[in-house]
Amino acid sequence: MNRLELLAVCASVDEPVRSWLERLARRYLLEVAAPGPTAGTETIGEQLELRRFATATPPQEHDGRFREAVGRARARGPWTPDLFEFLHHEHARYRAVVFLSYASPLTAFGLPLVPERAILLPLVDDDADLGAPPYRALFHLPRAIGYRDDVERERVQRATRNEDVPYELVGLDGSGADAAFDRLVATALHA
Amino acid sequence: MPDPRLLVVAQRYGDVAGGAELHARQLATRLAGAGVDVEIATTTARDYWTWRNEFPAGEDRIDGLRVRRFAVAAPRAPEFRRAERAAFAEGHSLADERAFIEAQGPVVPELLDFLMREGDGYDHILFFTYIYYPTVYGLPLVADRAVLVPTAHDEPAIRLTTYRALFHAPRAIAFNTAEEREMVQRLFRNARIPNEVVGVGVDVAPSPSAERFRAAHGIEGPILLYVGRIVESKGCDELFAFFTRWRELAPDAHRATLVVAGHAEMRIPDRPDVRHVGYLSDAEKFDAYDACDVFVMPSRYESLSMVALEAWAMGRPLLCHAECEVLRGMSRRAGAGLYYRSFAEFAEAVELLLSDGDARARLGARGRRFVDTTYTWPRVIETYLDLFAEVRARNRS
Repeated sequence: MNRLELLAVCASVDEPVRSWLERLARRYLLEVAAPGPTAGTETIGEQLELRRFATATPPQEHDGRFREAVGRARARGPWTPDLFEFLHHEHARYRAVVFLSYASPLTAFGLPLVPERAILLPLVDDDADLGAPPYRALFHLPRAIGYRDDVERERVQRATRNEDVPYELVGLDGSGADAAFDRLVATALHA
Repeated sequence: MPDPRLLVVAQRYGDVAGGAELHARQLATRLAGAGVDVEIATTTARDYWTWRNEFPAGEDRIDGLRVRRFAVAAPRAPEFRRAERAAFAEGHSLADERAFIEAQGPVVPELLDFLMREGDGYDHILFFTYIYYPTVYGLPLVADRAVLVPTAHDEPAIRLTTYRALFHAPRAIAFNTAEEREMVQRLFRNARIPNEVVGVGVDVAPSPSAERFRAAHGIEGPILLYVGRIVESKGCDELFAFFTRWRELAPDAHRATLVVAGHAEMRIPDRPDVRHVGYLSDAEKFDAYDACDVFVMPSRYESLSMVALEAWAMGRPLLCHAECEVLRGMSRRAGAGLYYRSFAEFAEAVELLLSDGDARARLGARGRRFVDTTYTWPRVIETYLDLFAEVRARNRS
């Protein structure tokens, strides 16, 4: 059994993410960071330690293409400045930080704060614009990326040319999903 | 096949003072000479402190290369020092860091928009200096074709969280020294990013003359030389204090003149054995190297000291501060200098170097050899061309 400190950052802990997190918590010393109406900690299920970070209204950006693109990415929500401060101050407590969904502002603005310990499960949508800021650099930053399948991998690699970032094919459920994720963590820590 | 296209992004460019800016210009010019289609994207600022808009915005041509200048939207903020203190304080916030980067400037949103619009038209984009706004916000916009020349040294800013992504995003990193690479890889665990220790080439001015320098400034006897901005942050206050104390310990035995060349941003001791010769032209600077017995670099924070390399190229020994990891490491590897961390060590090193001509010559000769084998333009250009070829290969469809 792997017992190392892992932080999972996700916009929601609803199914199927919740089941995946619960399985993760049986294999790792896991904490989960997620947005909520108010800040606080709670335990859900048997052993899922959850840190809630209050959401806020993202700052508006109107000045130029770059700032507008950044503003659009923030506006997708949820916007959680306290989570970013948490990563800034507390990242060293975790051996690895797993980010779910590239499009979530939690990932797009949180992952660049901890690239040296970041694992990305991008969950790319069909209509994703991967070339716009802040996403274009995002796929070059993590220690390892877990793609759902080869279609997603090819899509991301074609759009961002990030072939040099180590990866595994990882699903949230299904047979072999846990073993694939464990390989991904090992890749991130040792590759 | 068309020449590969390179965009050089630098916070200032052209006839401006500054080591990184000179480095960018020399490199851009020489890469153009090696068959690379080079353009420059920079600001309209001449002064690194105010970032005041002094050059016209729009297109310019320097050394035959197209230079695109973008207006600075906000100069260095009046509250910059306060923002810097807040960002460097224990327990500071991300908001403190962002406020510091914006306050430091130069804030050039139009340069970022240009990179978003036109970045894909270049095969590679070379970003100079990790610390300023154009690199912090510009490099992630074109990460897949970015090559970073961080010119990093061990300073509080490099430990800010906001800079972390910069050292993981580029396609390649060009370091100035092995010491810089070691520090960056220790701080960021980013050894997987392709990188090379490249540095710069050293050009020695033709026919340098010690006699010409001594005659022009009326200086006799042994000379300790410093060239650069004369400012506390370069350690000049300590250098003046150590030198005057050493002289006053034995005024008759400790004979030497401390010559400082460059723009003075602090008070220089008013005494006959400390001579400020102002800003020197390239030819005058090499006359000064030729005239000096020891070249002194008191700065604790250098990623590469161009003037130290030039002094070595002229066969002069280096005396540097031991807390400057880069220069201490280079001195060790080259076997071409001494270092000090206290007045006692400074005094001992100065006395040894001024009294033992053989030791001086030996150290100087090793410095010249070190520069001749490491910091030559053909090697520098060839290494950059290799890095660029790797970037293109990774982006090829």
